Amino acid sequence: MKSEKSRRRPAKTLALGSSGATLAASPQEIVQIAHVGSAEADHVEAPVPAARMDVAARQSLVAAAALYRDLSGRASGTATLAPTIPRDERVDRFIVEGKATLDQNGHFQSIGPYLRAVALIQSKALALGYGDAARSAAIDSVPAGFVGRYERHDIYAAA
Amino acid sequence: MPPPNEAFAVQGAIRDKYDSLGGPAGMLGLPLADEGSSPDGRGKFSHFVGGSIYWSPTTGPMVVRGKVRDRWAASGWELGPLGYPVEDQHRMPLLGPLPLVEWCRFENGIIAGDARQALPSPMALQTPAETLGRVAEPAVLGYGQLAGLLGKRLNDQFVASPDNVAMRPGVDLTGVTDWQYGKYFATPRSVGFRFRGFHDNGLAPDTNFTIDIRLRFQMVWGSTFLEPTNKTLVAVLDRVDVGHDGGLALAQVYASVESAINKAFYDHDGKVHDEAHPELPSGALFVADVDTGADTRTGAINLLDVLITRDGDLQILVNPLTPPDQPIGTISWGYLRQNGAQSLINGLT
Repeated sequence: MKSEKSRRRPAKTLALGSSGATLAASPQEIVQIAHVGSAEADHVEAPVPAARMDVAARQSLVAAAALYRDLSGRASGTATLAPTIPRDERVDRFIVEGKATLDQNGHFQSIGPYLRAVALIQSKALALGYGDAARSAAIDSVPAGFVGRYERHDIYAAA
Repeated sequence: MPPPNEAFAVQGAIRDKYDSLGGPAGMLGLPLADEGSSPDGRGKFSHFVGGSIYWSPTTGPMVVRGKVRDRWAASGWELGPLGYPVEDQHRMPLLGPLPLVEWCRFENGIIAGDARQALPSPMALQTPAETLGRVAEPAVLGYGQLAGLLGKRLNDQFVASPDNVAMRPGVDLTGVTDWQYGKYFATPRSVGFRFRGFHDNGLAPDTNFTIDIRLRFQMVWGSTFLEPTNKTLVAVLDRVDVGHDGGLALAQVYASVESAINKAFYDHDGKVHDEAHPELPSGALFVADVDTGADTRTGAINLLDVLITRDGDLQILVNPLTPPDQPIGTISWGYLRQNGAQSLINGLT
């Protein structure tokens, strides 16, 4: 018997990933989820019931966002930092870079570590004399942290 | 873990090495500080969560970590008696998850450690306290003895030659080079010798010549996934020059002597240059078979490597660690093994 929750959803269901986890959500709903996790939000509540926030759902959320991005024809990539970066692209990167994790209350966790790392890396790059280029280098996530790759230096910050 | 409120830069040759080892996903993990400069003005270093990379222009970027790094630090890092690392730290490959011995060779010695971190890590250059009060003299073959060994080899070759050439007595020691830069291991120091010889021209004056030759000494072994129980000590030809030294100048004589020496070291005409030792790489001359005492079941090993000292001596580097199946603190294993190694190299002369 279907639950009340699932009956209220659109019929379209996305089967995601090799884990077999399934996330019932429309592309519009995914967009809504993704936008909540924007770089402007530091600690906001996701419009997703807490009961669904198990591990599979978290994986599904990221996979669904990636699928949505692919379906909409936008390229994936690492987070190139620039102040004029479009909001949608920031949202995509926010999720693809693995920051779309949820806390025990089903809330999106802070993206502060990412933003802090970016600030630290850019600050270090400025101190090393990169000038304007300090804000335009690619920032990749690495195990336990982030790296900004510059011409003569790789600058690492812990997550 | 790195401090959460700081970012650290990795650069230059250390960055290249770090990336080649997997960067933060590798054994070293994230950096703990910006690249530093050695007080000696030569070297650079970066410290990471899982170890350090030390670089100098004559050694290259090398990894040191764990107990070995701790022991090196206690000796004064690169400013201490051992100098810079000349190769990445090596862990003895064994059969199965057994006690592991690891070591790192430095410009002037070696440090061995127990990878389980259970045993202390005395240096090959040990203090009396580390040798239980017994002075463990390094096992060396002196520069002059090396010259005698090489001179005898050359003389034997000339005597066997039908070309009317012979050696004159005596040899000059022409010095020791520094280590040479490498990404994963530095090229060892070479030692130089000048020999003299002559070509008998019959009734005409002899043609006198000098042989300037530089050699590097190192261990080689066949391909194996485990620590070799036997290695071969070889002399690698760094360079040779045959020149005029008085008498009748005959360029043909100089060329033929130089060619003969090169043939002794290099494969030619599709044949290996030393049929008795096909394991030798081209460019190397057999010096001795070396039983390392490695036991890939227990993790025991006696002899680790060799190096040429700053003074031009050939030193055998021994493992000072207590074997895994022996009680700690009753026997100075470094002392015993250095005596054994000294017997080995005494047998060469």
